[in-house]
Amino acid sequence: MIRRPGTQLVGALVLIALLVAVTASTAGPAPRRGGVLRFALIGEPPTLDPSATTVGVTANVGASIFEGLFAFDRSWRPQPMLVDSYTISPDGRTYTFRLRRNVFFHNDKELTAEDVVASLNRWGKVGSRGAVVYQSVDAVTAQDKYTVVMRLKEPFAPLLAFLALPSSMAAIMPKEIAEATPVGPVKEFIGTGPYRFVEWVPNRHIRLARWTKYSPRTETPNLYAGRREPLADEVVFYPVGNVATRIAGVQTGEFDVADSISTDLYAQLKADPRVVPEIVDRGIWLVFFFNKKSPLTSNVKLRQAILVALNMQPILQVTIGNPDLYALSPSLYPRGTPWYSEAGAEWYNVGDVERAKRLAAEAGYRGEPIRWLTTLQYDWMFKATTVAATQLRRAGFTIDQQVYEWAGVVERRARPGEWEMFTTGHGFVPDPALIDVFSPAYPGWWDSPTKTELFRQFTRAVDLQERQRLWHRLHELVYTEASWVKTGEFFFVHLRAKALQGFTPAPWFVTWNLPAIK
Amino acid sequence: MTAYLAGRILALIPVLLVVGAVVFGLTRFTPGDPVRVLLGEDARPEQVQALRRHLGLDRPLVVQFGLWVARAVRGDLGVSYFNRLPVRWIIAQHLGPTVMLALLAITVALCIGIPVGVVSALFRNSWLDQASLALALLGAAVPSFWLGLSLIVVFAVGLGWLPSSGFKPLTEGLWPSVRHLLLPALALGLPNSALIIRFVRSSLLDVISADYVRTARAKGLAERVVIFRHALRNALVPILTVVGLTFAALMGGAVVTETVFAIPGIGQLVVSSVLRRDYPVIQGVTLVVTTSYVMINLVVDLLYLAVDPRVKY
Repeated sequence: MIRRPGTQLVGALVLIALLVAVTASTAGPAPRRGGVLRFALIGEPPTLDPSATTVGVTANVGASIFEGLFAFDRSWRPQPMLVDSYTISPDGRTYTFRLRRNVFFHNDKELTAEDVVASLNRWGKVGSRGAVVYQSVDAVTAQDKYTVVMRLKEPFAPLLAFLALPSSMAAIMPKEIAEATPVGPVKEFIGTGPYRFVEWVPNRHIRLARWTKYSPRTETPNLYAGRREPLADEVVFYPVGNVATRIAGVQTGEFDVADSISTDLYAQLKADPRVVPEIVDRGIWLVFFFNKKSPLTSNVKLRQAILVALNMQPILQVTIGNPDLYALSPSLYPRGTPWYSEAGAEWYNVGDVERAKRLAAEAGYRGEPIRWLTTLQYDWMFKATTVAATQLRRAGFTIDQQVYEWAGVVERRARPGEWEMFTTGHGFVPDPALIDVFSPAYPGWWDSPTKTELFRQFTRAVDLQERQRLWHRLHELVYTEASWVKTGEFFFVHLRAKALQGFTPAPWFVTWNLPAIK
Repeated sequence: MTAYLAGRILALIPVLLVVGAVVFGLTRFTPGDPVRVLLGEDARPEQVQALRRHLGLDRPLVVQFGLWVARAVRGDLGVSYFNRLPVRWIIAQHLGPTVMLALLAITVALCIGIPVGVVSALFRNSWLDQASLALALLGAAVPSFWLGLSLIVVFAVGLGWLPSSGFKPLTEGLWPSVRHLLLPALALGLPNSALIIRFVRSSLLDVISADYVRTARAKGLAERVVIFRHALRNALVPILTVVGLTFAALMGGAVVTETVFAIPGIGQLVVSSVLRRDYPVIQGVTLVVTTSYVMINLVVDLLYLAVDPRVKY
């Protein structure tokens, strides 16, 4: 019998293919362990201590090393992280946190209530958000080895959201480190997170390694909450200031993820088979703050005049370009969240030159220069300011656009005598109480009596419905008192390698539950 | 000779003092506050005050300057406000990549500059000379960031031959290290070769018309020997000057190229420190770069001795 030489081979191949198919279907989705995850950051973080600063690059790295008592889930509700269970007293003034057991710091020490007390007390001093919380805190004490009691002077409804936020994070660290650094950032980065700090070579890389004693929660992973598993052996962050270089690095396979790529390239990169641009759907509010201590813009009529003169569509169109990457809405929070509100919408995106002129005349404005601080360091700030300034000039305002690098803007805006407006981006915050415009200490200094009283009620109300009712009134007040101009919201885009499966686009990097490519 | 050397090195002291004072003044009088950069946008005034006190930034400027000079004299450049690492250590970390990049870039510049310059001088006014002039003009005119990005697009993203960015220290092997620096060395070397081409051409032309070259030819020496042993050697002094100046400038950190290729060198360090207002690092880097500039010039002056026996100090 003459056999055709290929038959046996074909038969073997079919058999192998069948075997592979069967194995694949029965093996289940056991995620790959090992390898290195490589993230290209927008620059060098000022520190890796997420308690001491609100800087985004720090939170991006710190969120893998440190953990808080709570963490946000996908719908931005705080869920327990280091806390096992907790109770809130009916008057909303006593929180009792029972900690998880057998949680180990990266120095092998077990997490206890004393570490939590020391870390929170330090956060109350060095963290800008901690300081806000601690205005309401009476005392934080360790009731026993695993129980922490937080007593408040008055109810503070957004407490758990503050404890869950990765930026200006209520990071839990060993008591000795927390107590040794009462001012400024810590020098030792020891947390309980899925990855431990290994080395930081300035301007070259920050290297983290899997924390082998990490004890994950058991709930299904849900953004920052739930089970965290350090799948990769290492996570390395590279500071790459040039955006084109970050992009090229993902295209060539040197990085797995690039932070914040330019939105102009979104369409082009979508067509590139090697990479996937991922939109982070919680955006940045592009805002113009008014100085309420300046003789000019302390006048609410003048602020209203500027607000109604502006047409937001062209501002965002020029600044961002691709309509997939920005959103126009009077509401600060998107539809479907508890904080969606249309109160005050009639003041948003008006672009009425005549009404602006009328209001300016009523305010007694006589063409005095409005000093507007901006920077070229973030090109979107400069673009947005330039378009808005053109619109305002058309409505009869004299705009003195002052361009500094970012550090210069930050210094000048702290001095009330030197400006009327400045441009910035306001990162997403899960609870409205965290929005800077409500802080009377934040440049712009909004502290009208109505706002102060409403905001006080809002932070004290424990019942969600009551808080929503008060939020609508505050939301309206932001517009009627023209405390700032929120032009709209734009979205950051991260770029990932196509082969990197399971990446979660989020405001701060999620490095766990993420299998490395190699 | 020893007196000359001692004099040159002693002259460094007033130079460093003046540079130190000017940079100290410039950093402090430029708007921007390291504490606010460190703590982030929402820092509260009392936190800013506390950290400012902690870092000694609340003291009078004269006291701050005095303290800095007193430490610097002992070789202590202070500690970075940001990562709390000693400035000396940070600079040492960033010096390696910059030195390697500068050496590679100057090699690229010489490998292109000398042959093209020689050819251009030998075939003066021919099409070869015209082509070299065009190359030199292009090299001088092309912005280095554009050249860098174009090289990345072609050789890293398109062809996939070389990495697009980053740095590997020599401890990880010579080839991986050089591989990462090839594109940036090209991006820096090509524009710098332009100047060298023009200098080699003009100084060689000066020498070729000299009497001793005519004599060398007249006594029947091969053209190769005439050019390389007699003419080029005597044309070396001005070329050496250009190479020295170029190298010294590269040592100050190729800011743009290092940023484009994410190389952790002195240029990147300067940019990130200035943006953060990390005063101790800015001051430390300036001192080190000034010293290396002066020292490189000194070495070039000494090399004149080796190249040209007529030079005496």
